[in-house]
Amino acid sequence: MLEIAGLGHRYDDGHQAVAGVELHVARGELVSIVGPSGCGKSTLLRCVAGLQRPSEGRIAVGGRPVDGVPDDLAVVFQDYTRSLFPWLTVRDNVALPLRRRGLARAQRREQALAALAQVGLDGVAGKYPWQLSGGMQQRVAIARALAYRPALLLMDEPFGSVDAQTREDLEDLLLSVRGGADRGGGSEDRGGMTILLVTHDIDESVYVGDRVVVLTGAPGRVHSELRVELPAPRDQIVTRGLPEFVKLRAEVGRAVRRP
Amino acid sequence: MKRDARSAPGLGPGSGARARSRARSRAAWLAGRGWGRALLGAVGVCGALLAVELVARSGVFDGQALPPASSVLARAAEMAVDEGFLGDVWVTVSAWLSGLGLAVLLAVPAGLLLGSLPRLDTAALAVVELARPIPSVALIPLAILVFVEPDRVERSLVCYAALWPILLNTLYGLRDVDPVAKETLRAFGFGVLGVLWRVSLPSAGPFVVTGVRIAASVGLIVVVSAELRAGGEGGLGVYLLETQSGGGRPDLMVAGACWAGVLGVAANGGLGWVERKPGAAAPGPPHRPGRPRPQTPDGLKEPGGLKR
Repeated sequence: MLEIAGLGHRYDDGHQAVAGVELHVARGELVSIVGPSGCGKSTLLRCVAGLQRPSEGRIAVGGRPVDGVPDDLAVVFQDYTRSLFPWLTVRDNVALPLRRRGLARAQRREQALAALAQVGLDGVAGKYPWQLSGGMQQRVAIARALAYRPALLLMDEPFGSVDAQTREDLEDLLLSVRGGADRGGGSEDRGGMTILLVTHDIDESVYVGDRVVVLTGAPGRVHSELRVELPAPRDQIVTRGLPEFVKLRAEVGRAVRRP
Repeated sequence: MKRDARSAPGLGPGSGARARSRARSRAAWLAGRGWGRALLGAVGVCGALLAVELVARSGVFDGQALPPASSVLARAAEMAVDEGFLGDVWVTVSAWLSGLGLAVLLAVPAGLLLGSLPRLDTAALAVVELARPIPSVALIPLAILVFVEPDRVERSLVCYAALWPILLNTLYGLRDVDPVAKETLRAFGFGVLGVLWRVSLPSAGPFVVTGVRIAASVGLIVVVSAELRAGGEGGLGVYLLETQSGGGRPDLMVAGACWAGVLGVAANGGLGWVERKPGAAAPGPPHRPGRPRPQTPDGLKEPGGLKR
């Protein structure tokens, strides 16, 4: 689904954000990316999304080299307040990208409301984003990406400002939508949703990930990859109590601290 | 602590100070409330009218030059139901609004085009900054020469004067569009036009409305000036010219000017309301952090002086 080879990016000011990143992600896989702050995680996502042309290396999504924004992609930006459109209601914010899907107005609204219900925001569809708390706004941004049902979903620290309980619910929601569980709408042949999740929460990276990729400090490169072999379905209480989970979490933690 | 006690109203030197301070606090209390503020404003207006009335009746000025406020108000009220005068107002308003509308139709697309082409907006701003200082009224003789018909002279001058504030504010508005908002839609696969239409335009909307509001007040000045100079079948300016002839009727003149002012207040208030309306033209709460409310760029703040 996603192939990254020798990816490096140096900004105009000379700052080398990432260097020599190698990463292969299979269709339907959920890969967590962790690393110390400033290790180029966001740059990596921007390059994959085609919003930033990398200065070196190759990226291919679905077998096609990335040149411009790839088809069938959604991004949940870290800066959710700036990513929501203040002149549209919450429902219209979520429904807007669905225009790209060629859906009728009624269908767009229906899907938007369904996605809002998934993130627990049934009651606020008619409000404006700036009338909501930070955590709620972040959930609107997540709902917008989920309603779009992209083949590849990129998330940049998407649960940073939601409370602990909601965060766990959203992690479970993410587990349920990936791997085809929620890929309706006549897109059966495209298989499951592939998710790249940037997070700085080590527990979270292990809990939701099929694989955890640890990046080194700037310039970011892949320090190590850990396969997460935890039994499905995962459960917030049970899974986090498993000896394997505790062991993996410690391994990721060590990798992040000693790059 | 001690200082507080000394300055407390109850310990003042006499009852006069106490009464003054009580009156002060009552005024502050009034000013803090919506209706209280309206009441204080009304008191101010009535006071000013009364002052004009007294000065006019005192005979300090020639009775002809300064009509008493009461007679101006009476004339103004009569004019509100006078069909002839209303016809003049309509001529002015239609020239004003059609010139303004044409300016919006020209300036907003031009602003979108220039603003979305990288670096061209800087060049465009320079051109606008050069063209803008030419006072529109200085072009009245040229417009009369070119367009001949008063109606067309007025409309084209209003359009010219209104063009710059709208174009300038559209350009400023497009500069202010949040790059993250644009990238969000780009990431969903929207093209350049899609992003322009769905993000840049709505985001720049409040700036555009501010530009139109400024253009409206400039346009009103221009249309009345052009009518005074170019004449024509009707219009507020023509009406004012007529009141000048045959000895002159200052009361009618001032009353007519007051109605012109009412037009300006109405346009300003209406567009100001659109600007403040959340969700429609003005996105966001009154003070959203990180994204300042659209502000009138320097030089457009007061469409006054030479530009008129």
